[in-house]
Amino acid sequence: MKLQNLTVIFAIIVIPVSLILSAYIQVQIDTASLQAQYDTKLLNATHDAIEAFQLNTLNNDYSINSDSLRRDIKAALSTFTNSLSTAIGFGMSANRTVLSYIPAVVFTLYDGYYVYSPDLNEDTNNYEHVLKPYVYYSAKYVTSYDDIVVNYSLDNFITVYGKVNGTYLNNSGYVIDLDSVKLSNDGKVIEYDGMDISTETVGVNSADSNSVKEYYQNAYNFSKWLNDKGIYGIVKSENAVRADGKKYSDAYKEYNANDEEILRFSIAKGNTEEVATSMFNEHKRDIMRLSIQDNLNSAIANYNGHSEGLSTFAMPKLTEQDWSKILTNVNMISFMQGIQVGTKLYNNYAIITSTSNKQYVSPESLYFVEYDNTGKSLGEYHKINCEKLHLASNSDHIIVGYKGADFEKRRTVETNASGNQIEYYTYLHSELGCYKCIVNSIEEDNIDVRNSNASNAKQLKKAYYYALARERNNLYKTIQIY
Amino acid sequence: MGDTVMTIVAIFLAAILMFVFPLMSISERTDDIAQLRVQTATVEYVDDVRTTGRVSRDEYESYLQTLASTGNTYDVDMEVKVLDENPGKKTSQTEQTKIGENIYYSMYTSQIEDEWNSRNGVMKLKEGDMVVVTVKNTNTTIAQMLKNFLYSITGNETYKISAQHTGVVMTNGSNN
Repeated sequence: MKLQNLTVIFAIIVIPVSLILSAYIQVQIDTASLQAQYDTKLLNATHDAIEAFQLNTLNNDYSINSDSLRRDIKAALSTFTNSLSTAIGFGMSANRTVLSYIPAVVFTLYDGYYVYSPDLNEDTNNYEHVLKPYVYYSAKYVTSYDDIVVNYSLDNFITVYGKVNGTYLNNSGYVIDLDSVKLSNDGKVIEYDGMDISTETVGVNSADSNSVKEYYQNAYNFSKWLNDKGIYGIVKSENAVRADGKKYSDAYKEYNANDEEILRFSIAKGNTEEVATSMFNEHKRDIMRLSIQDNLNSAIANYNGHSEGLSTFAMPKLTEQDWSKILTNVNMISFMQGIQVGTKLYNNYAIITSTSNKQYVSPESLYFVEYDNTGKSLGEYHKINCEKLHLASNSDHIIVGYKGADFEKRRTVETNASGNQIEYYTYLHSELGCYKCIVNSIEEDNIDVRNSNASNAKQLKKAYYYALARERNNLYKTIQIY
Repeated sequence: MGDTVMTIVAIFLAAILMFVFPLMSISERTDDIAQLRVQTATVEYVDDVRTTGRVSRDEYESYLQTLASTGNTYDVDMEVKVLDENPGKKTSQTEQTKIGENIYYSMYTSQIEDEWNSRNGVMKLKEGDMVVVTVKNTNTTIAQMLKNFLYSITGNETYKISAQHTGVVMTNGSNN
């Protein structure tokens, strides 16, 4: 055969192979890059929503009220759908379309969470996305004589109600270590963990000056009540029962059950809410996590039940890191499934943690201001482990901490004499962010406030625990029993 | 005579068809895959910085390794825009009806590396900061070489593989 013929045959074989290969790889490339694009878009939309949530709750004095909070969350969800729908290219007017790809959105808050997912509307007989009722982080503990329910929160606040030895009782409060409390002769808490508990005089308005005392007194009373009623002995992970009567230890393989007294706090043994791996936190996280998982699974199963898609979706597996984010702060988790990306169907989620809100005071969101001996602020706010605070050698200076949201801008609208509305922007605390720790995020490494050896360690410890106690005491809690 | 010329032409044609064409086609695919790898790695890296609020040397190096695994050399530019809200706060304090402007100042790759040296290899960011990463290849890939040979496009700024991703940091960086 002539060389030319060979060449032609070779070309006939190779050219289609190469063309098909190139088309195939192109499709794969489109799939992967589209997937990455959607990941970013979902992340951005979720961030937009949490920003909207923060802005709305911060400027809404009633956001602690559950109806008002639902409104703020609905507003955040509408920001989410608008943002996602615009980013994907549906445009704002078709923002309902994007909802068909959202099997669930979860808002995890201070003492429970909201799930936003499709459900049957019996009036219209349509599946619609609804914000379902608030779910508390709660578990039931049953022994042969007792039957109580405990509602947990992100910190050490709990609510207890139910029957102990046949008598009905209920109460709520913060749990603290009873052994670290020192009482005065008339039964008032005067010292906790070596730190004196007194009225605050600097940097705090008169209404709040006794908040720290109130916090420790109430926490002591509540913890003692738990002890007196024998509740410490009932709240053990092996006694935990689900709402349907099944024991946690029977229902879940991953659940850790033992007979330790979970609520008996002890600084010496490391069982407090501050220690991430403490018994209390481990158990609380089990309860919170299983509750969220169950609700999400059922929401996604419900979504599968009515969606006309060709394939069914499973809930993506959240990583341990994601769970620790969810269980320690206010978050929004959004799931997106079913959009065609190249050869695959998209299935992923995004989690965004809120950094500043009025729902929860996390230790990381406390900022500290230093006041001189005349009570005048030095003009900057810091994080607790900022070098500038540690080097403050003046022992007569006072350091006071506040929650981060207090340093944010607030908007108020007033109508002036001529009837025009004027917007004012105010700050609760006028201090500027420290250029070291706030603007540039340069801090010392993790500093254990309890055991720090900084020159003003005592001052810092007091500032830290006072701030935590005051802000927690002033937080409105939906699970509180009055 | 004419036959010999024809044979020579045929050999050249055959060589081009049998070697250069498949080589071009395969090297183009290699570049496409490298492009995909670089694009996804960049998006993943930037999104990771945005969700964790940390730029660490560790992750940067593993990102560079991912890039290097494509067999090319790259020029990676990283920029962090640090948000300073203080000027805005000052404005609102002097005139309550005004929102002051926030200011961003930029730090580039070499400055970020300096930060790592002085801070255990981790630079923390806060919510509101911005990250920009731009990547371009600096070597000449085989596909570029063959293209230059066939229909020479040369110049200084010729890169085939490039990616850019940017976004706002969504959380305050933590120590762990």
